[in-house]
Amino acid sequence: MMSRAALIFGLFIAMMSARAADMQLEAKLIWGSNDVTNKVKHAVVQDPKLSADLHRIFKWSNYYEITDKDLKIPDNKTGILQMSEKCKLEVKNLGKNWIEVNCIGNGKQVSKGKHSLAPGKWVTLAGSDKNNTAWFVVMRTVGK
Amino acid sequence: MSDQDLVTSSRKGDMVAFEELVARHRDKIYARAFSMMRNEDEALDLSQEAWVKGWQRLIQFQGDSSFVTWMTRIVINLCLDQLRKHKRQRAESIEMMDEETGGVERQMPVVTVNPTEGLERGELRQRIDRALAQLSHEHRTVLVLHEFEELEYKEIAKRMKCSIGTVMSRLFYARRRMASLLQGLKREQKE
Amino acid sequence: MNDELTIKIQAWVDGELSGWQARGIAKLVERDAEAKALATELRQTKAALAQNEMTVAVPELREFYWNKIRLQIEREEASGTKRVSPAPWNPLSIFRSIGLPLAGLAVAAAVATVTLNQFSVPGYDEVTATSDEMSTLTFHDQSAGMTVVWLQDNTDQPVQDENSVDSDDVI
Repeated sequence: MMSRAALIFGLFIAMMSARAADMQLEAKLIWGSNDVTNKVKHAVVQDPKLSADLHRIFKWSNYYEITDKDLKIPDNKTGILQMSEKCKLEVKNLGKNWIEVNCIGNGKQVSKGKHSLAPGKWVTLAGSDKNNTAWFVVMRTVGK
Repeated sequence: MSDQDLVTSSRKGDMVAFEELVARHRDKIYARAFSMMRNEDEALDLSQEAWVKGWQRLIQFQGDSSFVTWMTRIVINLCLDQLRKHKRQRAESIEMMDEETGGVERQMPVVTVNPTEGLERGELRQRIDRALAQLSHEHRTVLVLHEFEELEYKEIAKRMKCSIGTVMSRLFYARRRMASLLQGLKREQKE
Repeated sequence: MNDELTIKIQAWVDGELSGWQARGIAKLVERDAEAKALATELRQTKAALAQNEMTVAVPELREFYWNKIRLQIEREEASGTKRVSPAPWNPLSIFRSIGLPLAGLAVAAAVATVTLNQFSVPGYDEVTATSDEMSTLTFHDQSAGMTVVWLQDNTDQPVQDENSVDSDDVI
């Protein structure tokens, strides 16, 4: 009986540990442009602080939110974020709010990096796009 | 080999690949130059100059459009530069004066019968070509850029270095004149 | 009809109007015979021109036409006119102006080590470009608490050659 209780307790602790190490990730694909046009079908970035930070740091006048995704990644596992047809991220949860990100563009790996995701803070991968625009993939952990 | 493959080779200095690109698209580039200049010698010179510039600027071709569209833009710009030089040299025509003061095209009666009805394609193209030849350079250019190159008003204004309002006026005049000319050509045929 | 209206009808036919302006003209064309007749004429002319441009061929033999181009290319290269080549990318070009003296700041490697007002190079995030065609710039904005990794495609750089064409020259 004691051994069964110990087993149940052990399993419970393991479950709690696994849940604690799971990472709830939010990722957005954002498009930066100077062209104010009624042909853009997407809304501007809604998060006021994120919008303010993008406007302050980068040179573009407008930032449109193209995709918004949530992903739960267990500890030491990799999740896939298909941000667009051309842009895929393979995100590995390294634990303790660290991630390893493989950025794949048009089927080719373009970068690999390790990042600390302090709660509430964004990590941004970005690059230029045609016609003097830019793309941004912003990621952060959400929840606890 | 695809155009993209030929461009990639040409970028590395492969003249044979570039020659193939020229062979494939020379008629289209020449035709655009001729439609704007209406002079064979000038169109030949400008189309060849466009190819030389294309070779020099290949690194700028990013594949956002087709290669022939990119080359067409180069030849259009060269033609526009040449037309601006012509404009400085020639006296103002009555058409241009009308355009400045405005009004002639608004007095033209509306053409109610479709002047292209019943025409075979080849004949229609010939008529359109004859009618285009009768327009001034400015009016023909704005028609070519809008109707054949499908550029928006804003883009035409940028390339012709004029206001959007001027583009709209010129286009309006050109179209009304074309309608009238095509109707005139149809009447000639009947007589 | 006044001049402004006739031009607006044309703009509507061309799809250059949107929203309430387009709706207004559509209603006018529906109810006013003169406006309708003008719109019809403009549409017919537009339709006649579309896809009906006369095709013409180069009035010279292929070899002759090409040889003139080839000779001109060789002549210009011999006289020193170089092919346009991509200039090194200036990473400062992505930022909003932050009031720093930009003249004299070197590119990429030097920038990555400079401590700016709001930016500092992180000691912990590691990023590698895995393609020869890419380079990366990593920085951390302290006030936003945001780490940014800028991935620059080296085959996609703005040209800064003095002989380069105005970017308006090509789309």
